[in-house]
Amino acid sequence: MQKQRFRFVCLFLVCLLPMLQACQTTEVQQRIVAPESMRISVDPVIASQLIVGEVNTSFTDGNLMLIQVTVGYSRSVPNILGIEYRVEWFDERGQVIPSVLSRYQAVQLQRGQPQNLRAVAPSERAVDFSLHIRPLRR
Amino acid sequence: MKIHKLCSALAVLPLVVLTGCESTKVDYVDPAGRGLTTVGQINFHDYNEAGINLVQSLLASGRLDRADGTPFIIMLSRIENRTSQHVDTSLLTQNIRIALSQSGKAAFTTAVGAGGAEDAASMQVRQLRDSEEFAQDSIAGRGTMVAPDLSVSGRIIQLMTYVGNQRQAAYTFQLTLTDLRTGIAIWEGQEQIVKAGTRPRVSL
Repeated sequence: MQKQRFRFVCLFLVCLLPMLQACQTTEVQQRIVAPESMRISVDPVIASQLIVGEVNTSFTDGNLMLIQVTVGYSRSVPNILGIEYRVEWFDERGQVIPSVLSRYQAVQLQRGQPQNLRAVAPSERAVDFSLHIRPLRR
Repeated sequence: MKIHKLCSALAVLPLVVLTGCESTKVDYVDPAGRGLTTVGQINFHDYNEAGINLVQSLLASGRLDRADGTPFIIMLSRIENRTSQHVDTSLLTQNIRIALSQSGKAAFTTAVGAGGAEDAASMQVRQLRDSEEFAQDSIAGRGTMVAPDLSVSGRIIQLMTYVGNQRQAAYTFQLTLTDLRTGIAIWEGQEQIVKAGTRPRVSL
């Protein structure tokens, strides 16, 4: 009888493991965003569907900062997610550099096909950036 | 009979007045949003998006990078409108001009343009050279205007496609940057905006 109870508890724990693992996966996806959370903000409406991957920064020969951020779409339904993104640029004192280039641009993300969001700084004064992502507004 | 007509007219009058007072709902729209969109027309968002992408492509290309950091002087040449609608091309070019000027990589001349000077003031001021009313040392001297290094020209093209009651409009924005010393295009950019929708079943 005791042995049977032990077996039952073991079986229960084994069944519980995948559930716990599922929770763990979600946490990992959120953690990918975390290191760049100061720079990258995602609208809460799409935050759980969007995977923000690699953030790459470099400079052109003319000292303009270039950024490339890889984003992916994790949901299976619907197949396409419309998003808009905007990059704000900051000078070395942390002040925003006003620019006509800092406007929302639309992108369609397809499930399983990561896309690179690219932007070039509006002037050589730009040394840092913040990226804002929100659902496509019609 | 006349009184009857007068009464009828008076009865109708408040209706007309009340209709005039009816308030229409007006909202401010976020200029960063999409705004109202139609298939057959280019809206402000299309110009913004095309302009931003073209400037980003030009700045990232490095074609405006000079070793000594001095800005290129650019003249705005002809932007050809090959669409079926009246297009004020400055909606496209102004964003580009602002962004390039802000970058410090280029400055635009208004003294030379495809259809003549964009701002005639530079020449008008020089016509005051013989006027006794103006201190001559306050008037720009000869040989002080700077000729452009580069010119920007382009095209806006519209391609409509109809299938049943479906319609699609493809707008192509093309820009070319030409080195005026050699006449060679040193950068070319193209942006496409495609919009699709349905045609109304009944049209008046």
